[in-house]
Amino acid sequence: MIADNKKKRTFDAIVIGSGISGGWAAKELCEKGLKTLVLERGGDVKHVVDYPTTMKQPWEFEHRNQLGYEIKKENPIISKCYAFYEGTTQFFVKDQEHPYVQEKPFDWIRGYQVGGKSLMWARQTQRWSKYDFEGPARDGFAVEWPISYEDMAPWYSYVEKFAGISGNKDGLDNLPDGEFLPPHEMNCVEDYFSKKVGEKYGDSRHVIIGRAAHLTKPNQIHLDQGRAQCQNRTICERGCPYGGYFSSNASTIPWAMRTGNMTLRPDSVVHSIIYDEKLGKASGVRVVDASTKEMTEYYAKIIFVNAAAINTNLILLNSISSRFPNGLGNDSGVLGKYVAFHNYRARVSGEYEGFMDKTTEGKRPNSPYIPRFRNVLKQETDFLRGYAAGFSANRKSWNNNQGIGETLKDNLSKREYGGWSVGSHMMGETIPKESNFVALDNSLKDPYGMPQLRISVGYDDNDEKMVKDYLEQMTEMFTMAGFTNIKTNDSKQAAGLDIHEMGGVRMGKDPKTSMLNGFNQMHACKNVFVTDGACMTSTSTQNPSLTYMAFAARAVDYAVKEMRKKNL
Amino acid sequence: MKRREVFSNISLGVLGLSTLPSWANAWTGSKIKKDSLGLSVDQANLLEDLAETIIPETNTPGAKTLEIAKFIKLMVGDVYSPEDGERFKNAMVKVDDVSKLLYGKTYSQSSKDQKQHLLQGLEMSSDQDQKWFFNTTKGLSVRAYTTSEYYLTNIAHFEFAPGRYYGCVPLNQK
Repeated sequence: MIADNKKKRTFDAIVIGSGISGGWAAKELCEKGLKTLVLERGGDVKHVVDYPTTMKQPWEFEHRNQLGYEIKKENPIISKCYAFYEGTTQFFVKDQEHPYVQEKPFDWIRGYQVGGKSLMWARQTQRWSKYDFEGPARDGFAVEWPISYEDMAPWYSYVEKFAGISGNKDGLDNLPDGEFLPPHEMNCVEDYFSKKVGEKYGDSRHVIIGRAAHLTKPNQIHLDQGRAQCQNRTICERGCPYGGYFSSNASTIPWAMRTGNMTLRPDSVVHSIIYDEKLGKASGVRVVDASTKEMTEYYAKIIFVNAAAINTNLILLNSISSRFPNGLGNDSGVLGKYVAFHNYRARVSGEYEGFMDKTTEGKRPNSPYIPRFRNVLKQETDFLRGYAAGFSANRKSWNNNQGIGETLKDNLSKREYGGWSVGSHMMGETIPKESNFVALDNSLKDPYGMPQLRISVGYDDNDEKMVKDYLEQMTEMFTMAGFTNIKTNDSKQAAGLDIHEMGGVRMGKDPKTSMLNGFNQMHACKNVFVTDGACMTSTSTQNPSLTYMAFAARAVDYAVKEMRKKNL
Repeated sequence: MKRREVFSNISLGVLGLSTLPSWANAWTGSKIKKDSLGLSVDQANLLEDLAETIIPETNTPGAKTLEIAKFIKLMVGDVYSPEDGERFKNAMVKVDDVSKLLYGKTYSQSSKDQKQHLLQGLEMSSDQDQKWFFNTTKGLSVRAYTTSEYYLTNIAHFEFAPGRYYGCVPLNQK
């Protein structure tokens, strides 16, 4: 065995997690010249070569991408995720691999591998606006955000340029424009709906094309990353060999690697952060090797925690010292609390009989988006905050499958067309509450010797009112547009299946009521930064990843400046 | 690392089926493994006959060439519940009973018209198990056929990587 020594295990910076925010922290730290150790609890997934199903044709999947009976039975949680199918099982955590306790129903969807969930994410990327950051202060919930849209705007621009975000400059105050690559097209019916909504609601409601992390037309910076134009295959969750959408694997991780400053260590489950009582700051992390279960310590001057929202909470709760008996930096007692998510329960569908002589051609890895229109400028409903919505239209077509034998075969060679189907789903803001929390179980352990998490996160009355309002408003909008056969549905799906869990390590101005300051820096342990979903003070209605990217880049910039000033 | 090959193929920005890198097509089409449904040789032959009746070989490939019965076995064996697997097998065995009753011979020994006629009878049967068996077998046969390489390539003109999306084109352009 090679002689080990402390020096070999000492770095300038440690990043816990290689997903969408950890990848950004790693890239930024390495570019600034810091020797950076990136710890990933799952296995390695190298761009292109570790995407085993990416080039498989539909007929090459034995079960035509349907999940087997056994795997569904053994994995009731992950089997609920839309992106989990025969071609993607390798990228999702199986239920038994990392058990947790559901005090309330919570579908915890996880991706343990280099790249994390950035491999399988839905790639929607909208900026927050001032109305979103100002929400808690205006409406009197959670705590005030310690930052404003102006603080974030340059960092949104910074990460958008590198990641590659497609979108249309819509000029909306409540959904600021970004540094966009060309937008995807809306189809005839989507465009029609957009115009009808404009006629009826004026400037208060908009249907726009989604803003998505796809290289619709790569710039030099994207080609420099080894990425190429999106090929519109719409099988992104299998990994993209062209790097057509943004992932840590295609973008930030190889970029960081190229600096020569990154050490990537997969199969490294972080147990806890080491707090040095004498120095009054964190000195490193304890890592359990995923296969041998042996524990090793690694040391660094600064630590970025990007383990994905709930696991970041787990690591901090498990980082116990005499200074912090209730978890690292947890003087306020809010660690693990005020967890929130997005309410995706409701859908509305319908049909449209116009544009019968038109259809679409090719495929689009994106769809239109309806920014939040409720309670934007002032409180106007009997519930707080609001919802954004997805919208899409599709020309219905099918094969005629009448008969058997030669008749059937002949029929199957004909494509028949119906009208257009239209559909929408809500993405509602949930209000962070002390009663929505994660905590360590006193006795149950996970396979790595860590305490199991008890997750107690659910809906409240505000969410129920919002579901009702969304269904009413979208039905009104569909009716107004002349859509027919309108149907509403409330799936009652558990929290977690939205895969937008946030909070528990929230930012705030006051150390008495928050964990992190305006630079994602821990109030009570200055060399620890949290820039994943755990840092979120409130959730608003945007898909959150773009904001995590911007937080990570901004926090690294601050941390390195502080280091150079000898403040860290 | 086959990355360079992937990129060399998309220099024009659009990647069609014909330009897929060679490594991507390593799958041979004969990788279908075990029979988790556990059919006897006779039962397996019967299923092949049923599939062939539903999707026959004509001047284009049918169930035999496209190995549709294999797909049905795999789906019922792996994806359906064990209860449905039993229901499927039990109903299939009865096909020969019905055939003997109607034509005095097994399904396989029957003429093409008799085979078709029997299946049409199952479709309209008041016996829920028989009706379910027919619908399942036909549904899976249609699925196997319409997701086969032959069908997707030659009839549906499936594009793996279209490289485009147009939102409003005349319907007849397709």
